[in-house]
Amino acid sequence: VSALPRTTYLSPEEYLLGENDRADGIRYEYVNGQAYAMAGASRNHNRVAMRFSTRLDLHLENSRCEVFQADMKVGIRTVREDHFYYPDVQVTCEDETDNYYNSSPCLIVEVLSESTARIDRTEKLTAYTLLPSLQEYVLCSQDFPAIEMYRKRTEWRVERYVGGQNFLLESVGLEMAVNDLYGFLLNNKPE
Amino acid sequence: MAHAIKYDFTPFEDYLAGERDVDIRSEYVDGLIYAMAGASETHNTIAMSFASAIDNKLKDGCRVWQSDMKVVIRNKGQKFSYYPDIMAACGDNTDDLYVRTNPVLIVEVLSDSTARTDLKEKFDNYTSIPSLLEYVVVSQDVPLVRLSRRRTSWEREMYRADDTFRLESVELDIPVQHIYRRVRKEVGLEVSR
Repeated sequence: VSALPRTTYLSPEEYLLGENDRADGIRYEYVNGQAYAMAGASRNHNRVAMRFSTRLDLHLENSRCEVFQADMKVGIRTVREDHFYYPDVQVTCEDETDNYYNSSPCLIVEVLSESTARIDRTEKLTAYTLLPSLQEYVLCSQDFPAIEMYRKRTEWRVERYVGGQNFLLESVGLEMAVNDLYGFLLNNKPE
Repeated sequence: MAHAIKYDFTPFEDYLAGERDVDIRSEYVDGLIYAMAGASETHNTIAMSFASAIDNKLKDGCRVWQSDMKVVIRNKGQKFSYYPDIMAACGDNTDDLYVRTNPVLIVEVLSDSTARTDLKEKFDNYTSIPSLLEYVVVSQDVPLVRLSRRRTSWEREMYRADDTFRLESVELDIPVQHIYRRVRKEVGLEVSR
């Protein structure tokens, strides 16, 4: 996907107006005046995202928290920064007011792709951690059982977990096994 | 360009030692290493014209480099190493001779695969360098220069085909067209047929 930015500045309002219910169906992310078209994703990418959100949804069924998948934006708006992204998975436990983006997620999950890994680890890490509500940011490999966990409590220092290990999502009080997310890699055995 | 998704954390010292004599240059971003893409003829021509103009005007004691010299940055506990397209620094290098830590000016020429990184990740890290006075981003498909200065809290200034802008860091006034003078057709300053 071409990431060439438009040569003119796009205001956040112009971006949102054009982005909501676009006729051409292309989604764009927005970073401080620039819009970037989003790439499609692979089968494994979708599998990991689906498993992650399914488990979260089940766990949060009777709570006030809600799970959203890649069609819902998160908006990060500060004095100097305006970002809109479509996280692969996000959980918000607050009363969100805007119809098209969340402002107060407590958990964000991205599944890494070749073309987006660097953005996920740097640009998005920096932006997401500006959200006062965010407690955890999780990056998942799509090729082998491995996740990277960033927590506000530990000043966003990375923790790594691999197949066979469990990790705790403190934001929603859920312990998960890394392998739960990667059943499709494990000799096609049922999970 | 594809970035390998590596999970192996590389200590910064190992990266620096390994990077001294390599075929493929890599950038270092908080423990992870990303191979660098090659660049187009237009990209290199623009960088060369711009760097020459800077070099011509540069006062004694200052130096300008093109894309083979690293800048090393420590920002909020993380370490970064980049090869800017153009970098200028003044005074002695008190560090490793393979890196600079005290540039006054950095210029990146945008490519499709690196534009987003140049505009955000590198913007954040470059502007954290205490010595840096100006960061310039040059488009390669149209005549457009984005310039941010420490003096104005890095607020973005935009310059187009008919503008002239001033680089305070190296005391240079330069017309936008001068940077693109050898690629006028490629950037639409002249109609090609």
